[in-house]
Amino acid sequence: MTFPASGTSLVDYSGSALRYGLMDIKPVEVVETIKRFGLKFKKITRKFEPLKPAQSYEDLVTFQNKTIFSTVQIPEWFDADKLVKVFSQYSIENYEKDTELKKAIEEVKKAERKGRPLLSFIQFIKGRFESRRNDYLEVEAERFLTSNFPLSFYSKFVVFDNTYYDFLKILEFKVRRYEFLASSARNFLMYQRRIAEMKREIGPLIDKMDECVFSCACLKKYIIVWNSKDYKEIFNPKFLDINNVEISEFERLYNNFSIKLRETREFMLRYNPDFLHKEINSEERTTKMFGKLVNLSLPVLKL
Amino acid sequence: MNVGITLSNPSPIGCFFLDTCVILSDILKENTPRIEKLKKDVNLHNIPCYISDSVKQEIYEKIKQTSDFLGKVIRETIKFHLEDFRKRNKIPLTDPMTSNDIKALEDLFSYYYNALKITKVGLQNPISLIEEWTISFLGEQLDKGVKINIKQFLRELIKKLLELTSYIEDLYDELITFQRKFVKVKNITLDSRIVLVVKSIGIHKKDCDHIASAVTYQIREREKVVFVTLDFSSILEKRHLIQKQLDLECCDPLYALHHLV
Repeated sequence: MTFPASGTSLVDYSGSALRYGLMDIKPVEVVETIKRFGLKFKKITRKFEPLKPAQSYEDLVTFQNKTIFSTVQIPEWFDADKLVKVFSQYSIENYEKDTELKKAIEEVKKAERKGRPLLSFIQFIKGRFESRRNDYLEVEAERFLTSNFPLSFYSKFVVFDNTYYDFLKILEFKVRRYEFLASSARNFLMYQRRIAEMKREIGPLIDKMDECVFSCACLKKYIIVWNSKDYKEIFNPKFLDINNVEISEFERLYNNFSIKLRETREFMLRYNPDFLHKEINSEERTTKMFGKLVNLSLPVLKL
Repeated sequence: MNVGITLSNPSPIGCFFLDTCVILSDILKENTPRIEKLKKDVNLHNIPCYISDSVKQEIYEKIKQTSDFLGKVIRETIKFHLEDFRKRNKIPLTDPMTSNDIKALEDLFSYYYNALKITKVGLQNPISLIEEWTISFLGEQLDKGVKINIKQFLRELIKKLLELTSYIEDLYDELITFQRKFVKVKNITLDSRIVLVVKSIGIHKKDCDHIASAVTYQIREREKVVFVTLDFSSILEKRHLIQKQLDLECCDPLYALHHLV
């Protein structure tokens, strides 16, 4: 999740889209009798319907922001209700512009028996995240250069982004498997059962990630508001100064985020025990330099 | 009747305690032949491999401090010097970087080399490592004809660091936080009497805790422990003294197996 709000929004990370596209759905079977060449045929279509009346995006982000600003301390020059309103408005505007996402959600509902609507949906979400990963990295780097927070602080957010990407890959794998099993089911009952199994398996993972996204948003918004003079600046503070935050509150939020991130990663290992395994290229110049530097005695590291 | 000479070792008995440098080498793929040999032996003979809490903490601190140090150098020292050079020469900050900027960095690094010579504080090594890294990267960009301004140059360096440190954190978590590989973390309450003996040998604070943990475990569990390290200058150099005074064998990963048979 990148600093600041410009260019990205909670939409990119929000479990709400995933929940809406993968969890709050139920399979339905529509049987139609059609007449062709004087003969009657049965046409069976399977599709998905929303499980419950969809909560409006506006309600959802407003609720999220209300929870955030009732959790974090805010400076006296801001009003909590107005912050909720301004941040929510920003997210809603971004969502309204996001025709791609809306279309992807619609396609889940429209899809017919032969398609793999759930897989297409998660692949869309994953593909989009993948295509933006370099931008996210760039924003973190840029933000580091216009702040006095240490680099390891920003590194945590890159770890979070990588974790989120791995999370989407796990979801893709699970959805692919269960949707395949469902599509080869002998009857609609079996089909429903497979989709229910899928939801039971991925549901706890989406819940876990939601907690992590929330703690990340609390930390980021806390830093943003304490480094902004007015409501305009909250979308792109000029400089993030560590001296502007209250250290005990900052530590509380940072520790909470670190714990949630660790818990989420540990939870993800149940789904894919190898997801943390990365191949580091030891011949790459940055790795070589870092490897030599890390082994030097720490007091020497002064420049 | 088989009268042939057997070259196989008897089964190893005991365990390994690994030093910070061994774990860092594994994560960063350094000293690969030595580390691979150790891992192969561990795997083949089912040898338990532990790290103490003190080692776990030191690894994390080293990664964090190195990352923060590099970030600081780029954000403060290099950025300031490059911008100052442009201002003095009335060149807009947004102009693409040229060989003149590289020469400005040359001045910066020379200044630090000279300062270190005079004050005799610190080592030249960190400076030369950062110098090689930044200048090679910039030189490569200029050779390719890439137009890059100061802001983009600094951002690219930071991106490389962020990418690397996030991967390192993944590997750290896999190996240490979640203990999914060949190492288990041992929480050991240090015996102050042992710490004093290790100190008296002339081992510095951090290494002292690592060695004291291994000795404490060896005494408490009555299990042979071999302390595996790549620290030639302060630990392996004193290995005979450590063995004599603490009954703990210290060795290079290459030889670790043979200290357990």
